[in-house]
Amino acid sequence: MNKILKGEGFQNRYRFSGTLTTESPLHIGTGSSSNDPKFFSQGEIKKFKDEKKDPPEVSLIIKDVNNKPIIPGSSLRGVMRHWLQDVLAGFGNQWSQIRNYEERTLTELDQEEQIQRVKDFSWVEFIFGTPFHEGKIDIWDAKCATATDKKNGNEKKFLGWDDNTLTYVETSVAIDPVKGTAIDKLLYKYEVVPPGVKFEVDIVGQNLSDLEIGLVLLALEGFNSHIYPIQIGSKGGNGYGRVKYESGKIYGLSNTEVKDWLTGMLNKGDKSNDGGYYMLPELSEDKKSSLIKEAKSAITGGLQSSR
Amino acid sequence: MYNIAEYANGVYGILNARWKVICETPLVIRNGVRITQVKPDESKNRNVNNWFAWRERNEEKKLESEVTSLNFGYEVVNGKVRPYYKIPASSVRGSLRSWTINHLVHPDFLDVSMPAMTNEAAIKAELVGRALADPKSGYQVVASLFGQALNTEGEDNLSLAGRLAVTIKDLSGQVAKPFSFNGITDGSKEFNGPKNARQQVTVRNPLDRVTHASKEGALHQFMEFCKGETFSINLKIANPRPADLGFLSVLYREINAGMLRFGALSSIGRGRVKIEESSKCDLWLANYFDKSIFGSIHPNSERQSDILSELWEQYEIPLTSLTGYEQYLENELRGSHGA
Repeated sequence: MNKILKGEGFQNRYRFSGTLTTESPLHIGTGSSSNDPKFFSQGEIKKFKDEKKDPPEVSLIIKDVNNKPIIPGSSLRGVMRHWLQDVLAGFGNQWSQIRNYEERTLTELDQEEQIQRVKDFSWVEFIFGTPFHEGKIDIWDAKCATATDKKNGNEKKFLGWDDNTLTYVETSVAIDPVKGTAIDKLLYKYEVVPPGVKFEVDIVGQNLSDLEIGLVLLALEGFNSHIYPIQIGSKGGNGYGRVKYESGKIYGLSNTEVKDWLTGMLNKGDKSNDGGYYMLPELSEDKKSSLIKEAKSAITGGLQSSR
Repeated sequence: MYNIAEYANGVYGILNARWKVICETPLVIRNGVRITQVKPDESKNRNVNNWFAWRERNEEKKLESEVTSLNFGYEVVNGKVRPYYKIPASSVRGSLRSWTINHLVHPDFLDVSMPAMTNEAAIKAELVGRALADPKSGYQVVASLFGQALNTEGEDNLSLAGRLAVTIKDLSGQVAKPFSFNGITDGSKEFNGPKNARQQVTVRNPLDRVTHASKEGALHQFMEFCKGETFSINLKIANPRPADLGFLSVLYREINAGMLRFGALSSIGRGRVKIEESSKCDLWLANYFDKSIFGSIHPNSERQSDILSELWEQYEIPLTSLTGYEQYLENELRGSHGA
């Protein structure tokens, strides 16, 4: 199949929308921490003062300018690529391959030769990018789309709950397996997003073939797998980071449809306040399912032919 | 069992054990948060007519005392924040790891399983290297399943993500249950905390060893989940081997025998659970994978729909057949790899 790079002339552009809803606690850390008194009860603060100890540090999650949690596009991109890589690796190098990009056989080629070599890279590499070419999909930061109902004001009374950031603090401790007691200095606290919080997903892709669309959709459905789900953030071994993906609309525009789209947008005139975006053709649910099915057939078909 | 390049060829399958668990004894798993118990008046009422408030104690009020809460979290349901009691998967995973270390790791290598302190990283790395090089140490099982975190870098990096992931389906739904305090149902005047599990408050009173009288100020109460509460433990092992099924078999037996317990206060009988016979175990294997290493296994008659269907096949592993794989685990520990 002919592979087309993102910059090799406009063929098409797609936008995948949807939501991710947390099904277990989520912690995407920033590497920073805080022992701000707001994370502790009055009783704990008094105890720290009495014992002349500093409060422990709480590992913080990443938040946006409105102090609401976000899922960085880099996190989503990383886990989707990782999952596809893991699942497809055994079906052949044409699907997924772990490669050393610092090999001289690649770095010492001129750019034209590198471009040709890139087209022999696996499909996962081709879609997500390598040091030699830009990936064909852009994954935006997933913004929080949940606001809690403040009518009854109960949120303010919940112990440890921060209704502004929609987070609370979990505590873990390491137990010495030999002695059965808590190990000194290994009590740790971390901020988490609770289950039930929604995030808006937006992925934009350019010059995607049907197979590549199918692989992206396969990866998005990977969040919903009961068997080997994509997990986001840390503590995946303890069940954190599980989310449910619900597909929204998928818009696509090919180079042959641009004129019709522009005409339609202009005809909408002053009534249009969306820049014509939502006049783009949409992928039907049947088409989405069929693209995933065709991608799977291609994956296993390659296996059949190699046997 | 142990392979530093475990995921070099991706993930070829998952061993998926879904255990339905019932508490045979009360269960105590906490998160360090304290809630408030309120007496109706200053008389010695022996805790009759006390109630509980889901808030910090007001120190100025002599009628209020503290009780350590059970582990809880929050969830957002239809825009409303709701607290719920939970069994943290980290607690269960930790108990499984602890059992594995104590029962499968040779005594000479027990120190290896301790977390590395920064100033001992080099010593720890050397110990770990020796333990991993010797399959009879038993440490390979720990490192492979539960992971290995070390402050090493470059080619000597021994850090590895564990193949075992634990998730817990929480306590028996969100139906509100009565709060029992020494058998008396509490009025719960202010209690807006979790109600998704039956809990009880138990009293302990330490006695002085010499006088045999009560120690002053030592009487205390603690909350625990009641016997009979149920939850589900889901164990997933990536890139499974036959020895992993043997490992599951051993865990299953040890849990049901009461030798492997969860949570605190196991020394006074807490934390014993039983895995119900209706529990399931499946192997999901990629179509390209040679399943013959697992012996005679059959596709699951009740196939679960999943995005990985058509790429992976689902095989049923009856719980009763797990014991047949224990020999593989034994072979691993003897250093003779049977699979």
